[in-house]
Amino acid sequence: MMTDPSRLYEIWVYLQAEPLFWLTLTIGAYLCADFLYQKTNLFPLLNPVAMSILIVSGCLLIFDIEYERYFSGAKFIHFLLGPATVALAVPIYQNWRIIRSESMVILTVIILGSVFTVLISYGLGLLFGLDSVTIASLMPRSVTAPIAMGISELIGGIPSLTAIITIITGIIGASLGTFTLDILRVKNMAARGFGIGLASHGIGTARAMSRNQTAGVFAAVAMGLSGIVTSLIVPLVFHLLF
Amino acid sequence: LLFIPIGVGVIMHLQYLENNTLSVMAVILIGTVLSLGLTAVLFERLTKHNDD
Repeated sequence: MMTDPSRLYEIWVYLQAEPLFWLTLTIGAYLCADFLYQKTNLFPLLNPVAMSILIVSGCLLIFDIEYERYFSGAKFIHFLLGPATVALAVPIYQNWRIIRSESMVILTVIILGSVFTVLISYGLGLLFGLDSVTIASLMPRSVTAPIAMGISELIGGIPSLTAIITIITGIIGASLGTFTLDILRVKNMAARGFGIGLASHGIGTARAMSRNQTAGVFAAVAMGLSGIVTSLIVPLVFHLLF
Repeated sequence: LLFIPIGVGVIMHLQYLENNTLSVMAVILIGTVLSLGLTAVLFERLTKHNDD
């Protein structure tokens, strides 16, 4: 079949008018970012999600496109977040035996660690003179993005700001975690994984998993359970403090 | 991949973030390192105690 060059322009216009274009832009940005990430041997600062957000945001700003227009297409990806959140229960299920055998320690550390994490965000937020909306967006930052955004919305934060903050938290945990734990001379692999999983969710967990199997499993357990505990304590703490 | 659409939404708050970026980054950095360290140390202490 012959293609008339002028027809190509029509296809472009058609695509641009349709949500499919924004979907393609999002997936294309992700593929580029992931390629770069793989090429640099999974360098934490080049996290593909963060990079994709930068690429897409940059495109929208340069071409002066409204976010609502972009979202009309990208929402098809956004809607998948719901089922994906449910899938987070899988690591808890898979590691149920470990959780049960160490249940007291795990439960104690999960609760204390999550409370501390939420309070430290609140305390530092006040210390740096941030307003309550920003603090609300910061408080759930240590859990995985879909849960964090849900909590943020519930307490009057800005979900998209929380998404960015959460990803940055993950990147910091993944890149500085090993260093921090070496300084503190934590040698127990389970403990190291647990700290990384609780403080820096999936991005930290992926890093721990690639370094050490035990650390990875405990990171996954900590990440899953802290997601549940944090979603319960953040609204409570927030309403007590504000 | 799923977080990209909502993450891009941050461009709506750029103006607002301009004044706060440094403070927010500081909270994330200090908070993450502290909670990661404390959790790991606590876990190690408690498991050691169990072994005795």
